[in-house]
Amino acid sequence: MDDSQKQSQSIPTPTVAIEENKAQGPNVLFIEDDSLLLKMYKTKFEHEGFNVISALDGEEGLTAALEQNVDLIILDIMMPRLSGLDMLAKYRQDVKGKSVPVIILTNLTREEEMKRAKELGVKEFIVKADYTPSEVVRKIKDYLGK
Amino acid sequence: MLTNDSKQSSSDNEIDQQKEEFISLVAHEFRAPLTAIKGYLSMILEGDAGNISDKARGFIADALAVNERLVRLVNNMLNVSRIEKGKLVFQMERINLSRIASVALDNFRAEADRKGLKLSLEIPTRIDDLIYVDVDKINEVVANLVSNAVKYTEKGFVKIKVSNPIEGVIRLEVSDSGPGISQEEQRLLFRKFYRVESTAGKTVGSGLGLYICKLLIEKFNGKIGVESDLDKGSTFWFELATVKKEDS
Repeated sequence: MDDSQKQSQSIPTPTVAIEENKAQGPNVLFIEDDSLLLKMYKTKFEHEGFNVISALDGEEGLTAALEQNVDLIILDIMMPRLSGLDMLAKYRQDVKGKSVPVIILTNLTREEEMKRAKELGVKEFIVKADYTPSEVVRKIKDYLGK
Repeated sequence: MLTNDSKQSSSDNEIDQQKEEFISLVAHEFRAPLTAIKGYLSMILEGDAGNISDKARGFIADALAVNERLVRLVNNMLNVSRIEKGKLVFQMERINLSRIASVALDNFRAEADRKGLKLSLEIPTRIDDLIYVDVDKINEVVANLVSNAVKYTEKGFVKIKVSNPIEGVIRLEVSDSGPGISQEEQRLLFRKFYRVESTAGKTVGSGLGLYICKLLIEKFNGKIGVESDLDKGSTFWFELATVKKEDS
């Protein structure tokens, strides 16, 4: 074994490990304007093996949803610039947006929004305050396993 | 031309709508910090921030339990007028009531331990307990009943029991060794804003919890009630029809 081989073996390879993880877990796009909550969910979801792409409002979320490969979108409703449901309506008009499952994660539980979400093909409507991040992860895993 | 009566009723409707929008906004604003507190505390308990001492674990579990009380209060505030007006959206699905009871047991264990109460769950080995309900709402009902029992019982026990009183019916009971409720007060208990005199002022509460439980259980075509006597503890119960797997 020459020196260069020894060196490459001794170098820690966290980046590679993370990349490997990335290739395995589902790609989840989190669209959430509360940065504190986003950080919390991101930490938990990454810990559970998901690759989290994040966006801080509906417009940013729409761009990410159209440009990147996502397996699932977790969407808040009340957000600046473009609300979650307006974002979803636009996304559904695109070919790419017709098949990606969207789950609403919000603290807004008004009848109007829930009805509109159903019309836009949302399968699950999760109230943030009712669940811990682990419980949200479990619900998403159950959903992906269906 | 509008009559005085119709003017009055349209202004009442407007006030009602404004009130509802205000409550909805306030509740939404409350829920965001409550979500963050609940989330981060639960992550610490789950070990996401590394190991913590048993004492710290106990403190955090207590803080989490108090936070849950606030979450329930906000939910009750939001639910009450919506259920009354038939504006609450239900996400109906099949669920085993025993599972809901187990969740309640886990969620209230820390609070009961802190008060030195024995919290237990009794489920027979063979049980027909599949029901068709909104899972979050039935969780709220059970949480309201167990929360009351833990809150108002100073020593002794709180017991959750699931059983089939007759075929096709599932019953959930929450019994406690608390102060009990007089016959007279039992008749008023499920009314809006009513609080039992012997306990009012001793603990936080809006007088909405049981009223909402009743509205929700009746919405799911069930029955709810209480059996109690002063100094003899209380048993709050509800019954729902069970469903078969293939039914809808």
